[in-house]
Amino acid sequence: MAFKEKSTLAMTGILVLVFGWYFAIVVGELTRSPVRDVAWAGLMIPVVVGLVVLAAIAHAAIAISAPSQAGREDERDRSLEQRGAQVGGYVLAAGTVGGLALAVVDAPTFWIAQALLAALVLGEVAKGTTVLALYRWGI
Amino acid sequence: MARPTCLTNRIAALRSDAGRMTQKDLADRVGVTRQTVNAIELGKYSPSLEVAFRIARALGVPLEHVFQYPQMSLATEHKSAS
Repeated sequence: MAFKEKSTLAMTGILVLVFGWYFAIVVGELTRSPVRDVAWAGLMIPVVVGLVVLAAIAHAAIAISAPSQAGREDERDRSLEQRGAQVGGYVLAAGTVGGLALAVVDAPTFWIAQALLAALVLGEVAKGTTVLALYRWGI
Repeated sequence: MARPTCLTNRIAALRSDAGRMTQKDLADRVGVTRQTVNAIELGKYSPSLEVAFRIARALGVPLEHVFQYPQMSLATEHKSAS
């Protein structure tokens, strides 16, 4: 596996893990209290810190396991990244339209924020998954 | 998902002819990763023209000795495009 493939695998896994945890907590709180009482904004700090720390640990581990490959990328890596970004962009755009639609119908800020956040996360996950699939099956 | 490429190559055979050159040796000479050389050999990735020329030069043969594009594929693609 190339450095970029390992990096993409790690980042996609970390995103799923961290935001899976976030959405599990938010949905859990929703079942116990009304929307306006769900403290989702405060969760953003541990989410961002968790993402940064896990990403740093994962990349350090990948670099240590194969120092000669660390940070190396070539035209294939960049090409796959572009294809992935294209797919991720469609998902992000669709989610953003969903968020805008919620704003148009005067939905609570909570739902608009969750829709936009979900769009960002799903867009990144779609990008990562596409890139990994292209690494496996070719372009 | 993946578009199957019609491009075929003889990189593995030419590496062997060139004194058992490894994928890593070729990758280092061309300036790509070993995984990219492997993907090209397996037909999972079609390199840019520049990388294709660098591969041919590293193997010491003309480009058309390394990469082949079947005439039939060209005719089929031309028909589907028009």
